[in-house]
Formats: sequence, structure tokens, C-alpha cells
Amino acid sequence: MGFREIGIQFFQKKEISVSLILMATILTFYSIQPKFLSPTNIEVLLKITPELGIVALGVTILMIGGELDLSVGSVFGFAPLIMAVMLQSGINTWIAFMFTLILCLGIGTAQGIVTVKTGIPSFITTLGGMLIWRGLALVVTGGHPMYFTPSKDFAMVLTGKLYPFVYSQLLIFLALVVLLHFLLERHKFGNWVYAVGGKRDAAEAMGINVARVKVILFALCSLLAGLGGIIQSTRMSQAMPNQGDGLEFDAIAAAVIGGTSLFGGVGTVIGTVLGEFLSRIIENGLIIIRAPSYYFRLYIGIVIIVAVIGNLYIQRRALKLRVRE
Amino acid sequence: MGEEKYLTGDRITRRTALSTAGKVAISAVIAGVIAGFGGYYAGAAAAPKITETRTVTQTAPGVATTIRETVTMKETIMQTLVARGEFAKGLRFTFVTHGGEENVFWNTVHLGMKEAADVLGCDAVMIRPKVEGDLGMIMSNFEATIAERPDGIIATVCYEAELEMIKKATEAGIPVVVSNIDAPDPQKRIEAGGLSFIGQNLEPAGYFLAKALSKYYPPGSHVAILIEGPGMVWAEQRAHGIIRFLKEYGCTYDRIDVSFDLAVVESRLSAYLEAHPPVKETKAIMSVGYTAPVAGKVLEAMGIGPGEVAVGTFDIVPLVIDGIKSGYVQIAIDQQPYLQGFLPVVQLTLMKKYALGAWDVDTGHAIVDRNNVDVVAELSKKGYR
Amino acid sequence: MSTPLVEMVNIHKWFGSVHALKGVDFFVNHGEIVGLVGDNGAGKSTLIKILSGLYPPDEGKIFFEGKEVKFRSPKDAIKLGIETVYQDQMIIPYLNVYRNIFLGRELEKRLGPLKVLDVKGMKEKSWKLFHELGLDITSLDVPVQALSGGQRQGVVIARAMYFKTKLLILDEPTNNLSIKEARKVLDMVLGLKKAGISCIFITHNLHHVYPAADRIVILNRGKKIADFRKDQITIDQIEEMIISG
Repeated sequence: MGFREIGIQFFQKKEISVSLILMATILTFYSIQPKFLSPTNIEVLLKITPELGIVALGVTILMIGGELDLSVGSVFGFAPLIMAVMLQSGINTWIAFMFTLILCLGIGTAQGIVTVKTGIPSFITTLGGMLIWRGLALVVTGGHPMYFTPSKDFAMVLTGKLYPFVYSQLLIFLALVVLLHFLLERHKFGNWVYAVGGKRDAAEAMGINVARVKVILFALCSLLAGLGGIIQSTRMSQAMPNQGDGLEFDAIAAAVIGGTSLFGGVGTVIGTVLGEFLSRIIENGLIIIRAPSYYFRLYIGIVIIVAVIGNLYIQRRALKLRVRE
Repeated sequence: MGEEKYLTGDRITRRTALSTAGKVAISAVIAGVIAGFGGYYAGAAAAPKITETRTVTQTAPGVATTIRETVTMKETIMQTLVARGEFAKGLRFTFVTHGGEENVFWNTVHLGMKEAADVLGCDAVMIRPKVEGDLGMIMSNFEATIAERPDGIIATVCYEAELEMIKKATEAGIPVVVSNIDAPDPQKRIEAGGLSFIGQNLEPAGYFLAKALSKYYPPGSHVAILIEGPGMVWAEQRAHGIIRFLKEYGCTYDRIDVSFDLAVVESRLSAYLEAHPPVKETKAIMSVGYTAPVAGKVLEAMGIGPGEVAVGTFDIVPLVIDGIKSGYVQIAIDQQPYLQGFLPVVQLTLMKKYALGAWDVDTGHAIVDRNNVDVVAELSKKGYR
Repeated sequence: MSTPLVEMVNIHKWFGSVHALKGVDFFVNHGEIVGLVGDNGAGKSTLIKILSGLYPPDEGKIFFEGKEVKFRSPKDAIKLGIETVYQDQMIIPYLNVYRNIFLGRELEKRLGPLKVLDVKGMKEKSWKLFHELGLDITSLDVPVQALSGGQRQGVVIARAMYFKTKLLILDEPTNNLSIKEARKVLDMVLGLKKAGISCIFITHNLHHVYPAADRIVILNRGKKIADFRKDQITIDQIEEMIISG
């Protein structure tokens, strides 16, 4: 393939819209305040993005499968609380961790089964979930933060600083990105996910067990939400009842900016990663250039709209290339 | 369609592909640029360019060695600078708080901070988390602030974990003062590098309220204390102070756990006063938050007139002002959020200019009662109190 | 060969209060092409959807090669060798051609300990298929949304043709096709017969199905009103029966 063809293929990629916005934003912040790309600041970005990015990954695969999960913020807060309670009772860190992750899988599976079996839109079931898990968190803690004191080796594995710029959570995040990308693009399960989200009836007619696929996605989504929360609590040494409040919208925004469709069947893991970085970069950049923090919502809103328009535009153009007979 | 040039493979015309890419790129750049410039103009309103730095021996504890100095300036120039509002020219401070963007209390703090910055001619911004009290957001805001290397940081110690950030800032050479909420153990805050605390000392404030209100109730009375945040540090400490005075004053007391939900306060207080009749038994009602004025409603419903039972409360909100005006509330203690924004900027400026030390300020002893309620009400409407 | 390949006995189906199928008996023999015709709302699509496993019958039984079967999902029907081309194209718009063809039955290859999609294999087989069937397609990588209606129909037919083993059900397969393409489909169907594969062909266009069919079954408002071998009835007679009900 010649360079021209490679160039055309590149511009057709779904993630092009968010990549361009990302580059433009980085350049703009840097030109106003070079400290934006100082090593300290880059390190900060690489440190704080993974825990939220992990949640966005889970939300993305579920959205590709045609469902939404509004409870991720609450699970993000609930999981470390459960683990904190276990740690305070003296249970071994790793056992507590495993148990909590299994609990998150259970939460996701339950939400999935309810959605699939009853036909209630996932928006509603997970809205209920969001309130239930957040409510349980408040009941368990009485509104007070809890100390989160895992063993030192656990903290090291999950959030340790390995090299300058390289934190464990970043590696975990990247590993998950690679894993999920592989699952979606190169494995048959991924094909089923896109099918189920793209046109549920067709997937069903072709013999795919739609219910099973969706429940698996719900379970994964809650698992990753819990994992993200545990990572944040390990970093902060605290588990708080209001942790992750509002996170569901951040995660969905990152996915949507990255090209995932709210209606299902479309989206990529890489796109979400770029979308998540873009959100954090705007947040961070506004502080660096000393803008009042009120502006974050305004800019994220603008970016969402521009990115989605860009994504749609590219998609439509891709369709318009008429295949000649 | 046959005239357009086709490329091999996917039959995309060169023109469509380039125009697509071009359009997306242009809109992306426009979005990024609008974002960037908007933010820049928002933040750069009065920030003048930074001038030179010179090294001076430090005198303030905890402050790193590089301090801006102006020793070469002559007196007349200094006076002109002050007149032109450029006393603190070139200094940049950042206030990292836990107060959410919708929290009205923090608007007053912000106003204090902004006016101090205007008067002194420096630049100050306040970074508030999207969700009030979200530790994750507060910490990332703090990290970004440190990376931005301001000349000084004002912080609230809502969680002990923030002490770690204060330490990091101090080690990076940025002086930090603490406002509004101190660490539960002030010694720890000092060790982390927080040079002073400007805010209400909670326990003494409770004592102060009970004492100031004691004009209106005799020793040996029975008192009801409303706790709007049972278990929370600020509530427990104020309650502790109130109780300390009551014990000295020979009173008996009951704690009523409520929340800031006024309906809950009303129902629980009514129930309590049914069991412990006002005037006959309960002679005073105090709250650690601002809900005591609800007692006015309850007492009125029970046929008790204003002033028969002493009522004292904390903080200035319209509810409290109305309560004082109606006569049911005798005293409110204001923690003066304006000062919590104004004074830290002053302290940091003086630190940077003349290497002076910071000093603790207890902002929590302002009394609002019948005598000054009208003035305070006016100022409250404008956001100053 | 006397037992029919497929036999549906006394099939009833309700949608809410609508009685869509009222005790229909329907059978297909081995190596036979049956034309299933009738006006709109007759219940043809519903009947074959029950046979493909999409809906369960509310009453009645289904026998396949003499044995009673109960389909819990389309997967069960597919396993028995029943392939369906539905009227509402069961195709995923955003996925490309080969991902649609092999949907649910993706070809895999080993990559160390993992099983990966065998994209090369799927593409090769798809190309071969399209050539064999004489269907036109120039790129397998485009989302099927980008194809013309006729090409999309080509994809679903190719998919069914690839996987069919015993019975192929076609619900209005020639609807979006050009005359040339429609002829190709009919030729394919005749070729099936030679290979011993049965086919149920639903259509409005009697002139399409009549030449190829062995039998014609007419449904009207949920009931079977006629079941004739081709030599027993003419196109005009069929039309009459459909109109008069």
C-alpha cells in the first residue's frame, strides 16, 4: 500500500476525531502555559487518569453491547468500603480484594439478569442500582469516611511507583486496554458484542445468546468500576461514602467523545482511552492556566458536542463511499 | 461519478477523504483553541507578567529558600505601587478547597479572596471540586496546583490525606496556609508545612456561643442542643465546647441528633419539647449548625413568645437573620467566611514580600444579634457575610 | 423418503389477542421446493419464524426427520441444519461483510494459547462464495450499511447458502433484487434441489416461485387454504384463491 492509501485508511479510523481534538487541546494549553507539559504535570496526569479510565473501559464495552450502566459511580464508592470493612476486621488484604471483586461481578450479574429477564431498560435498572449501592454505602459507614489500610505489598502492586512516570495503575490500565481491545477486535465474543449492540434481533436470529453476552458485559462493567474505586482508595488511604459521585457521567462522556454510540454497536476501546485523557487534560489544563474551575463543565460540554459531530461526520463519510459493482 | 479519480482498494476519492479530514481537523482545532483561549482570558484577567526573583535568607519557618524580594524599591515607588494597587504585583496564589461549586458559603470566601487580590494587585484563583468533598477530585486539583507552581497555596484540611499534599507543596518550595478547616491535630498540620490556620476554632466557638447566650438563661437551666451532623468533626467539636460551658454553668443538657433537613429538625424538636416543656423545663436551645431558628417556629406553634426561651445558633443564613429579626433567636455566631478568604491572601503576600511569618487567626467570634442584624442582613444579601 | 423432512402440525400462534396462526399443518419433503404464498397478513412470516426457532408455537408440534423437536432458540434450529433468510434483513449494519456472514459461527485460528478470529480464512471463503453464487461485491471490509439493498440481500443469501445443510427458508428473497439477480437466486434454489436440499420460498411474486417450486401452499388469514403440487394448479388459479380467500 502506498502512503496515500495508508493516509486514507488512517483518516477513516473512528478515533480520528477525538485524536485531533486531543492534540489541539494539548497544543493550546502548552502554548499558553508551558508548565502544562512539565515532567511533574505529565506525571500527575499519568497517575490520576488510570483509575477513572478503567471505569470508562467497562462502560464502553457495555455501551457497545447496547446497554448503559449508571451505577458505576456508586460501585466505585461501594467496593472499597466493603474491602475497608474487611480489612478492619483483620482479613488478609488479598483475600479481601478477591472477595470484593467477586462481589462486584455479582452486582453486575444481578443488574444484568434483571435487565435482560424483565426487559426493563438498563438505564432504569442501573439507576436503581446507583441509588441502592450508594445507599448501602451510607448505611454501612453512617456517612463517615473509613480508613483503607491494605498491606504494603498490595499497595505497591496496585499503585506503586515503578519508574518516573510509570505507576502500577497505569500499567494495569494499559494491560486492560490491550486485553479489551483484543477481545473486541480479534475474538469472536467481540463480534457478538458488536452484533448484540448493533441489531439485537439479527444477533439472536443467528443463534447468539444475547442474554448471556449482555450479562457478561454488565458483570465486567461493575468489576472494572469496583477495581477503579479500590485503586483510588489505595492511593488516598481512605474509602469514602461519596466517592465516585457523578463518575457515571464522566465515564459515559469519555466513551462518547471517543466515538462510542449511546445506541450501541459502535465504539472502540482506544477511543475511550483518548476521550478519558482528554477530559483529564482539560481539567488539569484549566488549573494550570489558572482559569476558575467553573469552566471545566463548559468546555467538556463543548468538546462532547464537537467530538460527537466529528465522529458522526466521519461515519457518514465512510458510508458514502459507494461500492462499485 | 466516473470522472472523479479513484484510488485503489476502497474506492475513496482523494477529494472526499481530504475534505473529511480537513473539516474534522479544522473543527477540532477550533474547539481546542476556543477552549484554550477562553480559559486563558478567564484566568488572565488581571495577572501581570512575573518579574525577577532573587534569593533571600529565609526567616519564615517552613518556607523554601527562594523568596521574591523588593529591597531595591524606594519608598515613593512603594507608595505609588500601593496606590496603583500593585503592592503584590506578580504574585499568584491558589486556594484549593473542598467546598463544592454550588456551596453558597464558599462564594463568600471566594469574594474575600478576590477582593484581597484586587486590593493588593495579585492574582488569586479558587479551585473547587465538582462534587463537594470528593477526596479524589480534591487531590487531583491539589496535584495540578502544585505542578503549576503558584507563589502560595491556601488549603482546607477536610481530610487528613490532604496533609500529604501540603507536605509535597512545602517541599516544592510553595508556602501553604490553611483556612476554614484545620487538621484535627494542629501539630500535624504544622509538621506538614501548613504555616497558619485562619478559621473558626470549633471547640472554643461552641464555648463562646453558650457563654454569650448565657445572658438569656439562668445557671442550672436545662438546655437542648441540636446536632446537625452527628459524628462529624465540626459538629462534635462545637458541641464539646457548648457542653464544656454548660457544665461550668451548672446546666443539664440533652443532645438531639438531626440533620440540615429543616423538616427533620422541626419534627424532632417538637417531639422533644412535648416531653420537656419549654420555659418550665427547657430554658435554652442551641445548635451546632444553623438550624436552631426552626425552634422559633416550633415555640410559636406552642404559644411561646419570642425571648422566653434563649436560642443561639451558628452561621449566617437567611433563616438565621429572620430568626433574629423576629426575636426568637438571640445570638448567632458568624465564622466570617469573608475573612477566611481575605486574610490568607494578605498573609501570603507579606510572606513573599517581606519574609514575614504567618499567624493564626480565629475568625469565629463575631456575634450577630438584634443590634447589628440589619446591617449584617444587608451585607449578607450582597454576599459579604 | 416418505417421512417429510419437516412437519408442522396444528400450529397456533397468538400475538396478544391477535390469532395469527389458526391450526396450520405444513410439511416439506426431502429435496423439495415449496412455495409458500398468500396475501399480506396471512401468517407466512410467522410460520417460518416458528420453524427457524425465533418464536415458540403456542400450540402444536414440530417434527424434524420424524422426531419431535422443540426449539428454545434459533440456535437449535440452526444446529439441525435449518437456515433462514428473513424478510427484515437480519444483518448488523455497522459490521462488515465477512463478520456478518460468519456471525455466531466465526472461523477461528490459534495464536499460541488463544483463539483468534481467522480473518483471512473468513475473507477467502466469503470471496469464493460470492463468486460461486455469481453475486457482485467489491469490498468485504465496508460496513454493510454502505452496500446497496441488492448487495445486502446478496450477503444474507450467501450466508444462508454457505451454512445450509438440510433446509433453506427464504422469506421474500427477491424483493430488492434486480431482474438479473432475482434469476440468479432462482437458479441457486434449483441447484439446491439437485443437491437434495429442501427449500421453503415465500414470495408475493407468483411468477418467481412457480417455475422453481414443486408444491404451492397458500395461507390466508392464519389458515392454510390450499396445498397443491405444481402440476395440479396454475398461476391464475393460485391468484384467484388468494384473492377470494
